[in-house]
Amino acid sequence: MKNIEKELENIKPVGLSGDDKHILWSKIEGGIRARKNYNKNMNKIFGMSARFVAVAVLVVLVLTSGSAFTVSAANAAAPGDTLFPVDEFVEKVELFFTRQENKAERRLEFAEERLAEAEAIIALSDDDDSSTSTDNTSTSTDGDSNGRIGGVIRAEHVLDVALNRLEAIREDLVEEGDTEGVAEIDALIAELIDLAEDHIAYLTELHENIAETREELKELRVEARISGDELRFRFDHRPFSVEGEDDEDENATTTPGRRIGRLFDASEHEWKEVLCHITPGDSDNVQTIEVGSPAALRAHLAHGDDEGPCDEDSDDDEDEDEDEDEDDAKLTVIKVVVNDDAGTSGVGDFELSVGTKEVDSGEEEDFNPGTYKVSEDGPDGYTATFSGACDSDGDVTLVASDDKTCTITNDDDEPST
Amino acid sequence: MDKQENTNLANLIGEARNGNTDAFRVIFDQFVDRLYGYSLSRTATREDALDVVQDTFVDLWDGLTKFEYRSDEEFSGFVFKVLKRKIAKQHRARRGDVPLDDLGSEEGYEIEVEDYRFVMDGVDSLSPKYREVVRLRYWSGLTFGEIAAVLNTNEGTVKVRHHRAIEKLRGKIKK
Repeated sequence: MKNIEKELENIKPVGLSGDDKHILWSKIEGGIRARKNYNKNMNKIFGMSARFVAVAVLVVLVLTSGSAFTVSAANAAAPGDTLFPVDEFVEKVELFFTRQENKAERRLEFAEERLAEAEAIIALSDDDDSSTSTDNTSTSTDGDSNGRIGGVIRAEHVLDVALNRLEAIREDLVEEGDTEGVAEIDALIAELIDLAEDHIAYLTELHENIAETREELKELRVEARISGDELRFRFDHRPFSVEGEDDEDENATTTPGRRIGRLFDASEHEWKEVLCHITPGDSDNVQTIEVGSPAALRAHLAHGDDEGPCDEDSDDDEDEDEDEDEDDAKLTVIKVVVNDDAGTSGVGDFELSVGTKEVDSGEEEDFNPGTYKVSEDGPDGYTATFSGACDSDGDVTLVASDDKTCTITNDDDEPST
Repeated sequence: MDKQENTNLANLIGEARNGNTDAFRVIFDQFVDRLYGYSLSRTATREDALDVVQDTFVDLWDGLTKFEYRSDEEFSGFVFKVLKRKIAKQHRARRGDVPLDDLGSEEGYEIEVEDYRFVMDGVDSLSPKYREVVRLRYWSGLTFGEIAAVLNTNEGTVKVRHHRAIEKLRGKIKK
């Protein structure tokens, strides 16, 4: 065995030369310096107008149907796309602050880091995923006494706040005598108002379409009836009626006056999609989540999440093809070696197999349902006994979703006298 | 590592977290050959390996702010996890261009790789979990404890895998 180890040592890659390391370190230092500058500038920008940036983000969120996720989509928007005006506006806000700093380098950094920023914005709103869908539901129903829909009210409110902030910054610039800055911020204000008006008009139109759809939905009548041990539904188009007005069908088994919408209440019949969520800015942090709306699904996919649950080794063990299957069963084989006589072997001296598959002691492995023989190959002088899920011959039967453990205990034999 | 080295690395990490690039340079010197060795076995060319190592250290600089030092082994595991992510990212970026099986540069080895082709082929034919232990042990010179930290497993399992990998290689080379 030593020869193999020696040969492996021999083919070890040669280390880098002093010059190689020097060049590599120079590049790394450059990268670190760029990061430092970026962080410093971002701190400065956020420090000088943190509230404005927050408001600007909010504006973008609200102006894009209450969802932050469209920011990343907006960044990819092309002229003519619905989101292109939002994209342009975000660009201009960024450039406005960029011009407060050193220009060319900052612009380059912005270009490089825009994706990261979009992800950071998404991260800010990730906690609001569930409330987003609730919000969207309420958007189509809530409003004020003037009949304005919730999305419009929010857009107007945030626009007011954003304009106030922009005005405050404008006053500062006027005091500083920065005429160029004032001109720029005036243009931004004008554009923000235009953008908001367009979006409010869009929301209003959307609301009208939704209202029509809701009216059509009200025509739908749903009946549920229990027949034997079956629950049966009947769907029927007719004008919706409320309690006291729905006595025309004596056979109807629906509760009189119960609003049919409740049968489809999102809280009771929630649409769920499972995703592997990668926390923006922290790719170490992945977790399986459920999202409750198609909009949230699109948004998560846009920032790099994968459909389906997280594969434990998805990131860095791509060449490991240990596909999880929910029909699989799990089996862990544990090797115990008892050396209370003359034995000196350890766990590593025994090669364990389940059927034809090699396994490691204590490591859970997936198997298709079936009956398997657990076996081992190891040094002589030990007596093996099976325990746990294995019978005395080492056979174990697995069915889907099983999670079983077999233990093989090897006790060293007494030395012959 | 002895206690003095342990304290030293902990101090260096602390200094680097406070923005001291000289301290980070010492960390660079301690890790660069090991990272490069592993990277060379997982990338297509020497330049790719160097790019990955460069990106790893730049990310590590930022990542140190989130790293709480507990042991040298854990830090090695952290560094190699960053490296492996960078390699995976490079693979993804080039997916379709370079078959994964073809990866592993033959540039930059101390000896003519052709002379040891049978050993290299033997390593390549190992199952991923054994191959990974061999790479980290011999290409990067990690201790079993460090390998365990990289692979999120315990040292005993790593030793078992190493033992088996060597046995399997010996069996393959005998054939």
